[in-house]
Amino acid sequence: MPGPAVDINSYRKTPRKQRGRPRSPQWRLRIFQFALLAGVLGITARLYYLQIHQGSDLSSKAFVQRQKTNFLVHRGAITDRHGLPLAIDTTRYDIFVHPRLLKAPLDEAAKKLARITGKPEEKVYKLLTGKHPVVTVAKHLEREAVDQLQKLNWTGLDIVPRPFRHYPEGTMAAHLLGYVNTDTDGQGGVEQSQQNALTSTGKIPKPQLDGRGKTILLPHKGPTWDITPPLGRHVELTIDNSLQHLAEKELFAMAAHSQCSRATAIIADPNNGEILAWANYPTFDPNDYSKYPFGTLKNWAMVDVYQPGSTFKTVTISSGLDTGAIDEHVTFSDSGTLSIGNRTIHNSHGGNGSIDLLHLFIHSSNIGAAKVALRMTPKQFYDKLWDFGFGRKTGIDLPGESRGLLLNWKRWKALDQATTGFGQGAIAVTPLQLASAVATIGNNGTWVQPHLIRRTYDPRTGVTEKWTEPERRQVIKPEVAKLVSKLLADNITQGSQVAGKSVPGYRVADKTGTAQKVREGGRGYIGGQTIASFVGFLPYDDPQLLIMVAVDNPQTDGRWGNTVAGPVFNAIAREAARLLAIPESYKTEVVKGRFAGPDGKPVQLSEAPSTKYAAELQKVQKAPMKPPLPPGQH
Amino acid sequence: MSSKILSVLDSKRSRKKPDFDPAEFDGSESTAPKEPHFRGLPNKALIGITVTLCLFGLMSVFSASAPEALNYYHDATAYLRKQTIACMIGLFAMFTISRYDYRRLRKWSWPVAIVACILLSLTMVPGLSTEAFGASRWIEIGPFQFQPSEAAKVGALLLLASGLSKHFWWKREMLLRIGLVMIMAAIVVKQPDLGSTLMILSILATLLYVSGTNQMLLFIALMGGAALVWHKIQSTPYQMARIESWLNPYTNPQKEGWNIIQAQLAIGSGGLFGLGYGRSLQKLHYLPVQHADFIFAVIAEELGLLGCMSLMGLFIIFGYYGYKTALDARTLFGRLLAIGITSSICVQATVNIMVTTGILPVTGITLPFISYGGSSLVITLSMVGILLSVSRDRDQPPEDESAEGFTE
Repeated sequence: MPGPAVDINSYRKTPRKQRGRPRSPQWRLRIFQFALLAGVLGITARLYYLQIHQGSDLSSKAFVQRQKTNFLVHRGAITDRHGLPLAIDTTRYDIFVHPRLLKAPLDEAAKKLARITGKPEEKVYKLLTGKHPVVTVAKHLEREAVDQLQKLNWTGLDIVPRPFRHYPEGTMAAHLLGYVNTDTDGQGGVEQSQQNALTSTGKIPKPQLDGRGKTILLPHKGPTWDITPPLGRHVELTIDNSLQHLAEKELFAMAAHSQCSRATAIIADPNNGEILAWANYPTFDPNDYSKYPFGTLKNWAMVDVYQPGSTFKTVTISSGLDTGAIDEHVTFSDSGTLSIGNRTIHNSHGGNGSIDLLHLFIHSSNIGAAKVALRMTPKQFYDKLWDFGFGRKTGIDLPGESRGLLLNWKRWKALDQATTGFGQGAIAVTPLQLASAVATIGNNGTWVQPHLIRRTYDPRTGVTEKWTEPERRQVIKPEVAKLVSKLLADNITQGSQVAGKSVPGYRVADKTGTAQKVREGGRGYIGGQTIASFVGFLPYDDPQLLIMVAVDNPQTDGRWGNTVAGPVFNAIAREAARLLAIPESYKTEVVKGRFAGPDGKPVQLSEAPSTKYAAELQKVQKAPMKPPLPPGQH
Repeated sequence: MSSKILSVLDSKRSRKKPDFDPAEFDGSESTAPKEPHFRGLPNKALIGITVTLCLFGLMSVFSASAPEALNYYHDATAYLRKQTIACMIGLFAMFTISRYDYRRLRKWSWPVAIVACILLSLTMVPGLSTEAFGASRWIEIGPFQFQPSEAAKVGALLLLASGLSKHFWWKREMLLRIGLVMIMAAIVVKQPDLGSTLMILSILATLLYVSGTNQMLLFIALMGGAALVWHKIQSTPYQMARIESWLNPYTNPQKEGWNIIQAQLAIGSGGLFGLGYGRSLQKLHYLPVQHADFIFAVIAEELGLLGCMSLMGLFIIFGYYGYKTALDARTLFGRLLAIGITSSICVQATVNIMVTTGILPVTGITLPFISYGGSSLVITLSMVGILLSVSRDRDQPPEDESAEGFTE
């Protein structure tokens, strides 16, 4: 059926716009081809962009996507210095049920699940018959229960292994460890500061998964993945479990007896800054942290500041001696009051007459300490305090440390300088800062950064990955440090105080402190409230042990550092010296049934708070231990 | 009448001496020397490139489908075997059709189109069609599944090429054909299969454009069509989601954006040289329909930028010889057929690669020759067969004066 004749090559002969005939396809075809070619060029450019320009980025994204994420990763353990566990990870199981997939009738299923998981049956039945397609029946189930559930072999029953943090020692060293929240993030303590190390699983690659969750078997040499669940680095603390237990036992006994609001005891090694024990009251159980008021979870001995009081005189005298403002034979006249401007400074016990440095410590003369402080220029005194570590963070490996309050010397008035000399006025420190400053005196004038972490190591090989290297700096001359240590030791033997005396075999260098409490958010001090503190080290000539005890607002025993913090110090020091087998300073002899002191006179052995107040404690322990008042609310 | 000529020529044709011998027709007794003659060998380059593309496709399908096949059939070659059978059938069909005079297809254009239309409407019948991915695109006949939208493409092509070679576009006959093509497109869009609809409409637009339709009118019609498509997209939530995920795939990376993101990750992982054949990791159930629509992503990951460039080079060579065939064709029908076939294959390939690389939103069309899909491969190869048939009817050498006045 021949149609109208069309010359398909007409474009060669006729004008392009000849009417009445279909136009030749050729020129339009060229445009079409050009469009296609442009498309090809666009694709090429896009491919270049994706494969060359973005190539490494996209391939790493794809790699991350294939890596297994919902993985059972165990945190590393936290141990004490001897490897005893303080925090360990175990596997527990969460049970999810899809009620619509269950083949068994719901009431029967509820009965069985309730029996195995130990939940009330009505509650499980209510969960199963609720609207939700998936319900969580139980969390943190033990292996035994899970074995029974697995034997049921039900469809619609999900058993999901989850890492579970367990603190085998309960409340012990709770503030140092912190806790792990429901997102498996460490909160507070070493759990937070060492989050990276505890969760870093090392260099062994994670398995890669295909889109349906099956492992891809990659054809290359070397390990593809590790078949055991990955485990984070282990962290070894400088804490000694026995000393920690000892410190907590004595401190909590005294705290419960004295009805204080909070208390702390720090045991450290002055030579290398290792903290051997650190007890805080009130404490909490990291296994069960959510049941405690939030303020209790705070490590107050590092976060909160207080005015150190008389314990600060050790620092003032050391500074005075080191700067040359005073020498060891200096004497002061102490009339009991000192007027500066329109204000008057008082001693706590009236005047002491003409005193030298030893009697300044024995009588704890505020006037003497103020006079020492005033003999230095403000800058000299301030620089020494700064060197001692006041007004700045010690850099301990715990989160949330406070830097304390130290007014700049340019803003000091004479009164501020004088009161700072005996630890009141323009100074506020954390117990940790004071402990490390006094440790400086014991350590021949070298300040060592206090630290809590001894090392982190590989859990499989045990190879240490990081040793803690504490920072050190020379603050005062060694001879000055020796001299002050001697003065502090003589202060014990010649003075009248009980604290520090009843540690048979050791000559202790220490200083008590009874500071008035500053009114919160206002001026002046709260009448009748004190912070009783005690800091000392032993033996005085070669210190092995530094103990700092601070009790906030005690209600009994005259509220003195000597009577409240002292017995705790004595008890801890006696027992700790025995546990650490520290060589004795002098041969202990028994005279008339009593231990003889260094001068041959018998010493009164104060009873340890834990035994002395045992009857009281039993009453307290019957009721579950709860903090009397959350700190920060008094 | 042309069949008579073919039969006459058939007896005298020799493969060794394919060229037209003018002496035969210059004889005195020759009654119709100016009749069109169908002779010559099909374009060898076109055959070579087609077979190369098929082999490339089989190779890619094996690599891309192996994990899926292992999962469903516990046999990595399950899809490969199906595809190889389809490829064999397709090649057989291609060579058979290439021996057939394409000019005789003219009378088949209406029947083919109507049968395609009927088959298409059969997909609307619930009992006969198979649903997959929420669309009923396949007809099940015994063990075979068939996708009538592929046949609709051929039907539309034949119908339009035969019409446009005889009539101006505004003639009644032509409008009737355009109307039927539009009906086919409407049925396909109902399935729903937007990709195939766009392919049919692109064939329509291409042929209308190259055959000299008023550009302004065509432009207006295209704009109208675009407005319609946009309306359709907006009224269909999943289409709208596709557009949104195309513009910003990371707003919903687990749902709508998944395809695009996974394809881009696969392509990006390839780099310059690729991970090596069979080493794609994204094909392990990350890429959706990795052996069909997104097979290019697997190729890009395994063979890298160079592999992609060579594949696109193959398509460019195919397009070059296809359009060369069109321009060498001696009839307008053949020319339009060749243009339609070459364009539809090239446009489909371009659009598929553009979708995979994220230049265009996801439409759901396959990569011709390469993607898994039996009916698609058979129909594509049959279309190439028609193209080869056209290539046998090319311009004669200049000394062949008698062929000059040939018209249809």
